[in-house]
Amino acid sequence: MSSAETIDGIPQRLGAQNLSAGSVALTLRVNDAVHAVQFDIRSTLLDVLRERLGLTGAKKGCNHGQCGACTVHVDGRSTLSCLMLAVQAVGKHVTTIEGLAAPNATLHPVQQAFLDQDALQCGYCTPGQIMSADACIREGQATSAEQIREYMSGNICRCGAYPGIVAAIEQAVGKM
Amino acid sequence: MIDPGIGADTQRIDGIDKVTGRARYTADFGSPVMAHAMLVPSAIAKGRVVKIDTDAAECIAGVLLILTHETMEPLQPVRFYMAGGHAFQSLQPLQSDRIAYRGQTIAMIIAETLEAANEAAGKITTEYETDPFDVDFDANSFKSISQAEAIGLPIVADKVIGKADEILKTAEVVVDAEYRTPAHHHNPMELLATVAEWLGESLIVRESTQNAEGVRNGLAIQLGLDLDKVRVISPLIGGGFGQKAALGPHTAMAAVAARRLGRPVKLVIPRGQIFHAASFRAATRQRVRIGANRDGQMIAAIHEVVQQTSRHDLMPGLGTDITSRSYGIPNFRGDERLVKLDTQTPGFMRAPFEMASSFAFESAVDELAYALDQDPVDLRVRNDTQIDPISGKPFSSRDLVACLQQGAERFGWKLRSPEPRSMRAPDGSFIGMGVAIGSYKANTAPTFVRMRLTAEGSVTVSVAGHEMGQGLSTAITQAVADRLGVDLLSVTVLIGDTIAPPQHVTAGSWGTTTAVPAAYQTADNIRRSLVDLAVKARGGPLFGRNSDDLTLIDSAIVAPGGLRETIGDLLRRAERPFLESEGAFLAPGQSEQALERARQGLTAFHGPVYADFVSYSYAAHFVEVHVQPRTRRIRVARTVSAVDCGRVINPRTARSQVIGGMVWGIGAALRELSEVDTRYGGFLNTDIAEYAVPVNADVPKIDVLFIDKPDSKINVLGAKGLGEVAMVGAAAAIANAVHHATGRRMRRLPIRIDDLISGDPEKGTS
Amino acid sequence: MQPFRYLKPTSIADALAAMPTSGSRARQVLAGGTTLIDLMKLNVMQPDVLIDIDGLAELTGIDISGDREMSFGALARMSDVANDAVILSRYPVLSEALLKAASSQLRNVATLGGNIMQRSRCAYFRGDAYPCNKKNPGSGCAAIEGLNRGHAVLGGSEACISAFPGDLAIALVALDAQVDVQSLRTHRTMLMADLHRLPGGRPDIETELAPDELITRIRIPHSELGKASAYHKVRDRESFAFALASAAVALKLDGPRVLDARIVLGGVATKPWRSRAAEENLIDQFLTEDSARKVGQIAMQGAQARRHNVFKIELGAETVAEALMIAGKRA
Repeated sequence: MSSAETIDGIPQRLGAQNLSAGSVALTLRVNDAVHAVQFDIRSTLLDVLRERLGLTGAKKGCNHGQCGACTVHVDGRSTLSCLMLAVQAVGKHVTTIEGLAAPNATLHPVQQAFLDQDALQCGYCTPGQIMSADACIREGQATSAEQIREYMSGNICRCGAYPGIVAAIEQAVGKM
Repeated sequence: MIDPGIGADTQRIDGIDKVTGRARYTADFGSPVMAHAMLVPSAIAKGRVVKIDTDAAECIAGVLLILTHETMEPLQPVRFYMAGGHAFQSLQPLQSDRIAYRGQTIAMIIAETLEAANEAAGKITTEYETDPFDVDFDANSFKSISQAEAIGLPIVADKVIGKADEILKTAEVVVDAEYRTPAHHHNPMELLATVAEWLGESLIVRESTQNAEGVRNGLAIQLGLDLDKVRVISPLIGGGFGQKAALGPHTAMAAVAARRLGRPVKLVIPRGQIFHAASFRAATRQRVRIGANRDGQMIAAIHEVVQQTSRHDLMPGLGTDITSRSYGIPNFRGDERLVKLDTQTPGFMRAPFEMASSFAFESAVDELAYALDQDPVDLRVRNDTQIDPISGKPFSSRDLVACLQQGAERFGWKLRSPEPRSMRAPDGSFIGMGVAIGSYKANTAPTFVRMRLTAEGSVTVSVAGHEMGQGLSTAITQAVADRLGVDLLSVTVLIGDTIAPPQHVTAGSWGTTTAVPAAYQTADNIRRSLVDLAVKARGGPLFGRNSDDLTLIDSAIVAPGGLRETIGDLLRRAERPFLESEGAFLAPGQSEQALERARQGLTAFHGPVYADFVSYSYAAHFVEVHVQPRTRRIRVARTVSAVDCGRVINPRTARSQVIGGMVWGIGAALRELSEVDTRYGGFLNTDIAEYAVPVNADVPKIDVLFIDKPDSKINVLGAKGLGEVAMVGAAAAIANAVHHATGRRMRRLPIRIDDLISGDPEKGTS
Repeated sequence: MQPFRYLKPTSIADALAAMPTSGSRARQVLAGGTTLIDLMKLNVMQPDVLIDIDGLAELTGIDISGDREMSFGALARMSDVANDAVILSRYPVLSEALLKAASSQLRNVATLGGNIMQRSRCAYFRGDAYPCNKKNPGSGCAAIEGLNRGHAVLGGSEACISAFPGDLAIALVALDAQVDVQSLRTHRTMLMADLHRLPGGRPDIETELAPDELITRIRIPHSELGKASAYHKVRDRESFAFALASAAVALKLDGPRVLDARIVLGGVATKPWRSRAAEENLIDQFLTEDSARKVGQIAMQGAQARRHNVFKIELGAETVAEALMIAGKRA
């Protein structure tokens, strides 16, 4: 949700949050900000990020853990936010694509590398790819193209930008 | 001499937004007062809903509305887009109790939250009356009807040149084989999504679509609204591939719900449901006969294609459009037939017919090469033609031979020993090398352009188009920025929003050829106006100069020797806050009626046969596979694709398109299959794990080269289409490589381990 | 997803007190959630109560330093165990099984205890409105006459032919692992090989666990067979897919001569399929391409193919053979 008054010339209606039976009020730590959120106990972390906190970078691609478009970091580890109940994330530190780059707003080396290597096309899987790519490098799993391909296979790209993604990770390794 | 911006390796203008998560797709929009929708699919394959019980669902807290065929208002019908309409199929669910296919929507739940909507969807109980149904393509492909007779339009007429049946009998060598391809689903990463909102009497819809104008016009018809009361917004989608090329049945439902509730409604269709909520690529069975003389000259060919369609619409097949022209075969008969089955209507899916028809035909050409004991590259070069066999007109540009030769060189085709099973890798795998060609029509659609250059040096351009990762907005920006001498960041591209000029569907690889030359020419108009002003309006430094000597660079008009006037100074001096140009652009030789069709959201593309020429893009794909001797696991080790798409506007985005096309080729050849259990109807593997699209580990080094020679006839930039030719022929190249590795000719896709293991005659021959 | 009550016990005792007493699946343990949340979204599982045991300290430990055995808490993350350097070098079958089991994101969240409890990937089980004895006992099995390319050729019954989809469990059986389970009533150990049941007439009952029992630990006795071991997985794509056929093998070799062997199959059977006949046939033989293939064929003996999965018989044999050759090089 945007805090702007109009988008594309369309006035945005602001108002009270919607709740449902079985809602809980909990605190989530996302990108170094603490949020008090109310949500249905059944809500996934993905849906809370997108529908309650306005962090729409993580995408719903399949909702069943099969595509990786919803990848975020939980306590520094790449995680599928669509298969995690939001309540499971309480007490943990969640990082989304919006929080990956340093606060001074320059691009993270992986983001820059994705641009340089044209490691994207439609861009829908890109936030998830970048979160996984960052983890790949940090975990020391980017020592060869073959290893990168294997590690990154949990992030599907239907546009087929895989070779660019591998090249981007190879480029970023040197810069992290 | 073309501007340096055309052909420049420009970074995507939406790249930063995409890598930071700031880029927004339809489902990323919303508001706290928005309601959430969920569809309920039919559990039976055919029949009717006798009773649909929504009581339990209505009791769930947060449920606001349930639309069923009993509670949904009647909509005006919208026709099938291939029959002069706007919708992906003519059947609109919830308008009667009739079920035509498994997975057809029988209800839409709207609730305060997604969770409540989901919960309620699980609480709908339905009583059905079932009818017998048929979804078995293999069993029914013999009961096909002639497409030419059934539809009757010239565009779907069978291709006939010379006397193929007669001449075939005289050929010294004949290949005669049958090939099969299964149904496929697009599975773009972005789920179909709609956000519908009413502002007074006006409807605003964000829709994940490649066809904002079609959706707009279709909705206006369905809801009985004036066109100016409907706006559809879709500037960026997460992959289209044809799935989003026409109006879907869900959009009107969301609009109706939003109207009833007086609140915006968001629908995101779960991936599993999308397998039945939109179109798919039809399964085919094909027979290819090619006759040649011993010297390798092809003298006759017959290509018969049978493919599936729905009961309610006739989706034509156009695969023989390319095979009749792939080579200079003087006698050709194409025969397209349709089988009606109880499914939703199949439609366009990246190279909708060409993927399958090229697989069949290019496999047959490979078989012919072996029968003739000739090299598959040489055979193709030998049979090339510069004249379209169907119309007799010249091709506007055809560098297929260059593709074959340069591709072969880059690939190292000379290293190939032709005997199957003759090449081994160090790990014991059998190496196979295969080649195949692809072609795809270079169509153009009509577009309107509106462009404005302000004194501050910023440019806005609205044109028909939808960005789906092909880099359209970037190409438009390049063309415009360079023509006007402004910075890329000064250009704002408005596409995919019907508030701009009519947004003709972006599909059929015509997006760039339609929008970019038109934007370029419009920018050129403004440029000439600027230069004109500079030399004619007294008081400026360039007054009286020769227009032809002036260039635009760094937001200024510059004369040789360095004398310059900035755009800002010039416009302020002339008391013009901005300069504008507007225009309508047609395909070469296209009638003005096309503009009206575009306004009405109807398809109005033109080509590939133009008045004086025929225009296609071409590719030659070379593939190396390794087949593991024990488990028969097939790995694609490396590929080279050489492409003639006329002038390349942006080498990096073009390269990415071709890489994507090869990945799709790997998917079609070795992975993808939409499974049909004929006892139940519908598709069985309705998720992105069981519908196996390629993963990163499946994809090797993909090498791409472009001939990059401008086409002199098709448009001012000489650019032809690319998005689909990138994959046409790729599956055949892989299949041919598998044959080279194993000695087994695989005539049914996908080629998987079980096909190589079994001696099952259904699945390929030894 | 249907509503549920969410419990977060802070001790094992509290967790055990919350466990169900009937086999109705109305109460479910939530560990990583990658199976449970997935199936709840499909309405295949509709628990009334979720017992979130994530973070229970007693269940998270990984201890590979013991003399006799390695010990893993049920909540040990797959990625933590997979990436352990000692395990990678001394028990490659275990590392490989974990690394090939799922994507990196899933491995970060999924637990060992949860992974060995993962459920069927059969499309009729996961889908809506198909006859499925596993989901709805007595309703029939759509796979037997249906699209059964991915289904089992070993251990099936006329009620169910769903292939066991896991990888870790296959390796654990090959390593003679033991599973500790606890309830308020009991504290017992069973062999990993005995955890899963054949479908028989009750495919809805998948393990030997009582409804109130919680897996607490998985223990792997140290073994000389660990080093020359391999987990080989053949699937429809190079990664991120379930097995068409897989084999966990572990060997004790003296030169080319096999002194002891474990051969366990995955992807082709309804539960992890140890073939003692194949093992016995290999012992005292030289490990060669021929003996490996022959042993692979013995491992697949008794296979009953359905219409679309005949190939699994040969593929299973070749997968075993290939696994043996890979393992043999690691002696």
